[in-house]
Amino acid sequence: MKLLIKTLFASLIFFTLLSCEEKINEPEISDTSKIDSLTAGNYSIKAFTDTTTIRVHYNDLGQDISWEADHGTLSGEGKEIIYFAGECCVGLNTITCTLTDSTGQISENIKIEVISYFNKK
Amino acid sequence: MKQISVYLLIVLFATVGIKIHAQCCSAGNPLSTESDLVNSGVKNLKIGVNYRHSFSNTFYSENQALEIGIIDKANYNFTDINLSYGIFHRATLKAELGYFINKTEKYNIENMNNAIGSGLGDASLQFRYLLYKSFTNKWELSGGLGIKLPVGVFDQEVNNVKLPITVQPSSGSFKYFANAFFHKSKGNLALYSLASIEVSQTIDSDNFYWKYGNVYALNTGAIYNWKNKLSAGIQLRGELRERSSRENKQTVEASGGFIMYCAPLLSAKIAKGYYAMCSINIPVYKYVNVLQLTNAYSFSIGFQRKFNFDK
Repeated sequence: MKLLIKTLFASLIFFTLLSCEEKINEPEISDTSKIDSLTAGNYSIKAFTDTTTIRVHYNDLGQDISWEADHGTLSGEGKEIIYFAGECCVGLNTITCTLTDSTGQISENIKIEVISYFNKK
Repeated sequence: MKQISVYLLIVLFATVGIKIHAQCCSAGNPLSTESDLVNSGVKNLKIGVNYRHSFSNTFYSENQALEIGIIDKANYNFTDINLSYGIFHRATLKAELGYFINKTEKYNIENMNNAIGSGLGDASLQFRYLLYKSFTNKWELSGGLGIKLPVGVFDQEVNNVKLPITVQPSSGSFKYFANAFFHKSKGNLALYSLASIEVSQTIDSDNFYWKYGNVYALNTGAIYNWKNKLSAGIQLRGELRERSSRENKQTVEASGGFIMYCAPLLSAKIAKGYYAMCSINIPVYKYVNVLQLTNAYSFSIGFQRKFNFDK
């Protein structure tokens, strides 16, 4: 039983070490691939009320497209996604699109302002 | 019985009326609501598993419910395995590992997918020390210090789209906590109180930058035991959260608040060394800053096996 206890505590320590991983810088994508622009239907949305559609314009050479938002929620996949945010995301938020191919990756971002649900504008 | 009423009232008055802050978005394991922190002595081992379901569907602005369109409801199903072992006469080491079966936000918008996170949550380690025990008056006071480790899944993506921080299974940063536990028994009745604080480090991942506000909680309860086989009790829990902050030290106004829960508890000895327990957490008072989605209820069931290697 002592062995079991030691094993279980050792497992927790192992998981802890796993959590301390280093960030790796990805190489930049080849010159033939690039993002022309990111556009949004609305650059200012009301929390818990509006959504905006964000689209990436790029030369399509078979790259993977990934999306992330520092605050708020993204839904969809591929060239076009929907963004919306709650009241806790009021402010200027950054949505980042990344293209990845076998040579590396390239990212562009767009800023969307989220205004309060209680704002009468 | 009169003693219990007075005791509960004191705690109620002590928690209501404090200037309160709370928080909306929450990554990582839910806060522990355990009540069994009585020192069980050296070489005693407890192994437990718990399951918790939580459901949220009501928006609050301060202490008023509001109808809001976009987020329809949110829920999670969470499990954990925990160990507690008496390493010395007065000292206990506790460890816990959490796993989210799902952590879901459902949106009431056409063409919008639900956000569903799942996977390993946080691990926690806690050192507890029995500060004082009165054998004549049957009460004890203990303290605990611990850390939550973000060992699980964070920055989770679905179809190359990062999930919002609210449904990330792990905290994405370390959390530190401390608590003080008081327990007094008289005949078949036990009264207890647990005061705790949790402080989060800033989350600074590839994508997210966020710092949760500190959480202060006070649990107090009474448990009645029948013949060491069945226990029933009730717990009041006040949870006060400070506002969160984001990049450039901006305070997140719509975060933080105060919620008071009432939690009936039931536990039974099902065989020698085996115990089962269940509880339900019902919010009885909510005050949140600005506008936030709030919890409707949560319930948990658990099983525990106790071993004594000191015999």
